This record gives sequence, structure tokens and C-alpha cells, in this order.
Amino acid sequence: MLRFIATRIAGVVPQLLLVSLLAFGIVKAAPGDPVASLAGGVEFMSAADHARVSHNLGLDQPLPVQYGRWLARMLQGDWGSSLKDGRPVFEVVARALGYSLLLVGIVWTLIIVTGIVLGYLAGSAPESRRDTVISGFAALSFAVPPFWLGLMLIVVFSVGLGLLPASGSARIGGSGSLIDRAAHLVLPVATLLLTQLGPYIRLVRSSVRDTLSAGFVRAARARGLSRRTLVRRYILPNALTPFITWAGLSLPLLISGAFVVEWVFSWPGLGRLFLQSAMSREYPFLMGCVVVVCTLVIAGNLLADCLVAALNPKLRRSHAGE
Amino acid sequence: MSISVIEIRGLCVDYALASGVLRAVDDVSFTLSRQEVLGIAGESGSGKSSIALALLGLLDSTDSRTRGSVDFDGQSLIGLDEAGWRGIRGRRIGAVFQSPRECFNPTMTIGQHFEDALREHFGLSRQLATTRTLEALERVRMPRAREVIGSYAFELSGGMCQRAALALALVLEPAVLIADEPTASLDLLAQVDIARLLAELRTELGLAMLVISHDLGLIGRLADRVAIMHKGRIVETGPTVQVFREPTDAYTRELLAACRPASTRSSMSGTGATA
Repeated sequence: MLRFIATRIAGVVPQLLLVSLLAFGIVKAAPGDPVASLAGGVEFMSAADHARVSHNLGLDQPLPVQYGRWLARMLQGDWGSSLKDGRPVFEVVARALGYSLLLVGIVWTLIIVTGIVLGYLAGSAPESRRDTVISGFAALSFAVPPFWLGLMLIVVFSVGLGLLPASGSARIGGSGSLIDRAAHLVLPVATLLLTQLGPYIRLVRSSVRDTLSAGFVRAARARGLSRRTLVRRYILPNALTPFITWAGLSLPLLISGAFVVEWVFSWPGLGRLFLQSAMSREYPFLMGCVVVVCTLVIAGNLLADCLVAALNPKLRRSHAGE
Repeated sequence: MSISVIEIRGLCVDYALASGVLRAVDDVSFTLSRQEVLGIAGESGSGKSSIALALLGLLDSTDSRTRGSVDFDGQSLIGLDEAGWRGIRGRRIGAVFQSPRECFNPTMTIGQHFEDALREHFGLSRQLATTRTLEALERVRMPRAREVIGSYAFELSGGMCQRAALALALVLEPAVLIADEPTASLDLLAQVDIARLLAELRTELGLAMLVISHDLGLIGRLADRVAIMHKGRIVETGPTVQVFREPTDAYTRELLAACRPASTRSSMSGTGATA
């Protein structure tokens, strides 16, 4: 098992390098002149000033050199600073990452729990009323766009009922108490959860149905095992294998969903930072965000791989035999 | 004949299909006595396996309906609740099915299946369960039994899986063993092995068995009496030798004629292996 994890982690290194190259490349290829935008436009800058600023920022070097320097600095935790106001990128991105992890982490946990529970309830009684209601909810969750639901929730709960705050992570000028922070999380979490839950429920539902008709479940029932043992040791470990893979693989969807939700609710996370930076051509922030998001995605896949291997002895044994 | 362990009277099983109702088992009656082996023979789709599922209470109540009476040891199994069934399934009526590899949970070792069954039925600790498992595996002449306990079904051959499944059924000391197509998915050598093993266990343990198969060679070898099924009905029943030698029903004659190459083949390989 340890060996399996080590192999997987080794495989992640080239992926991360590729990500860094992509992050660097895409941002370099983006239109717009960052040096000129410092002064508010190319017409406000002399050619000499332009060359001097370019030189100071290292933007006049060949691209491979720029990449090499950038990567070396990234690895040391020096992610540069804002092209405009000099804020250190590492700290800003880290703070945004904290907020994003809080939001995505809560939603991910809730999705896994409710996805398994609702999917099992639907799949274990196919075509029942319970199944119809849950599957209907899953289909609805697929169909509703997050920005629309977010706005609707704001209209109802913030504007209409005045129950919950509509934006930010804490009341401005407030004490930042736990209750205040939690209240600010409710609507973003609800929006992201409700619009992302559908596929998870559907997946658990169908794999529970498949597993229930498997020969080993019938054989286990024929041995007179209790329902509890059947569900916990025979049905769930098998039914959840595709779910765990999907929970890892779908992390990009969740994160991109969070981008929209963060924007709607002005949640100070990576998504909002990314969109703001893209609009103001803050390349260092953009690169930082891309690297962090891609790393999260790769980490999600790695985690899913390891969990699936832990649950699936066939995979575990075949790797041990290598 | 001694007292019967299983007595089935007028059993009907209907499946609700999109196109209407399919009567899989139509007014079937038979008894199984202690230490007796009854063979149920017939082509696939003749309703043989539905009888096995009805005996184990495993027919899905949402899309099937069972009528008639099914008695085990004088106790009616019809309308039994889930807790009542748990005392019957595995503990009183054991079962092995076809495709033995698929009968083991792929995420658990062979030994863990025994552990679960022994814990739930006898409250045995892990250590005691291992001792019992080893005994059971040795009873079915499992080679390298200790190794098999820690193996997964996908690491064993089909024949070894069926041996393990038999041991798993017998470890709970049932009064009746249902063998539903026990050799159907196995290669020829494993078929012969399992058939011989079943015959040996039968004489060793004095087990009552219900052998359900389309393989008349297997039934001829194991069963004292045979019931021939066709389209959900029992068309002929009697002592195996008599039915095979002097079939009275037209369908039985047809079935015997169709199976002759297969039955001579299996009896030939059987003698070949004993020699």
C-alpha cells in the first residue's frame, strides 16, 4: 500500500511541472501589456520607461529564463508581488485559499454525506415514492445554475426576510464572532451544495442498485446475515468505489462552481481573486491561483486513487505484486 | 421413508413483468426427507431456481408473488418476518449457487466471509472463527486452506471458489443444502471434482440436499429421487434410476435424449478420474 502511494506521488511531480508550465504559458500568451497597464496605458509611458520597468520586472528576458526564475522563486515560497500595489502574492493567495478551502471543504463534506445517504435511500428502493422524490431533486440540482440560485437565495433570505447576510465573510467593523462568520457561510454553502449534489446522488443510487443485484449480496443474504452487516460490509464498500473516484475527479467541477458562488456572494476566496486578477491583468495573482487550483485538483485525484486502492484489494494486490 | 425436512405444497411463483405476469413456478409440490438427495432437473427458465429462492425467502416481494405452502421441519416459511428468516437462511438451509466467484464479496477475504457468518449465527470470536473455518475448508479438501483464508475470490480458481462456498455453507451446520447449478460455470475437471465432493459430503454428513441442475449427469450421480421440471411444472418424479431408465413423460424422454452425450461424457470422465 505504501509503495502504491509512493508510486502515485512520484507520478504527481511531472503533472505539477506541466501545470506550472501551463500556468506560465497561458498567462504569457494572454493579450494586454502588463507594463503599460501599470501606467494606465501605453500612451502614458515613454519607450525608455517601458524598457526600464520591463527590465526591472524581468519581462525582457527569454521565456525559458523567465520560467526557470519564476519556478525557482515559486518553490521558495516567493511568488512575487502585485504589479500594481506590491501586495505579496503568496500571502494574498494563501489567505484566499484558506477561505476557499473553508467553503469547498464544508460543501465537499456535506456532499459526501448527503450524497451517500440520499443515493442509498433512492437506490435501495428503486421506483418507490422515496426514489422518485430523491431522483427528482437530483435532476433539479443538475439543472439549476449556481449564479441564479445564489441570487434567488439572496432575494429571499437577505433582501426579503433579512435573515442572512448576502455577501462577504464577516460583518464589516464587526467583532468577527463565530456566529457572524457561520451566518455568512450559510448561503454560499447552500448554493454550492444544492447545485452540485445531483450527480453524486445519481451515482450512488445507480451503483447501490447494481450492487444489490450482485451475486455476493444474494449469497450473503442466503447466509442469513443481518441487514446492518449486509449494508456496511457488503453493499457500501462495493457501491462506493465509483463514488469515491468521482468525489476526487469532480473536485475541479466543485472548485469552478465555487468560483461563481464566490463571485455572487463576494466570498474572498480563490475564485473571486482569480476573476478579479483576470480582469485587472494581475499576472502574478493569476499564476498563483492557477497553480493552487491545479494542485488541489491533482491532490483530489491522488486522494481518490489511494482511497479506492485501500477499498479495492484487486488493485492493491496487483500493485504489491509488481 | 423418514420424516420430511422440507414439504412444499402447491407452490406458485409469479413475476410481474412489463408485458404481464409470468408464472415461473406452477403448482409445484414435493417433499425432501432427512438424508435424502432430491434432484430437480430441467432446462434453463423452467423455474428451478425460483424454487430455491422461494425456499430461502429471497424472492423480491415488489415484483413477485408466492402462493402455496412451504414448510421446513414442520414450520411454515410463508409470511416469515426478516428476523425469522435470519434463523433459517444459512443456519438451517444452506445454499451454494452457480458462478461461485461472484458469490464472494470482492472487497473481503474468503476468511472474512466465514467470520461474518460465524459471528452472526454463533457469536464466535475471530480466533474461534478461524479454527472453525480451517476445519470447514479441510472438510471440503481445500488445498492450502490456511492460505485460502487470507485470499480474495479473484485469486482462486472457479473450482476452489466453489469448494470455499460449500465450506462456507456447511460451517453453519445446516440441515438442508440447496445446490443451485453448483457445477454450471466450472470447467470440466472442476465439475467432476465438485460432483465427487458433493457425493462424499453427502455420505459423510448425512445431509439432505436439493440439487438443482440442468446437468442430468450430475443429478444421476447424486440424487436418490428426481423431479423433472418443464415450464414451471413438475412433469415427472420418482427414483432417479427408474426415471432415467424408464421415463414415462414425453418431455423427460426428450430431455434425456438431448442430454445423452453430456451424461455419457461426465460419467466417462468420472470413471477416468476414479481409475
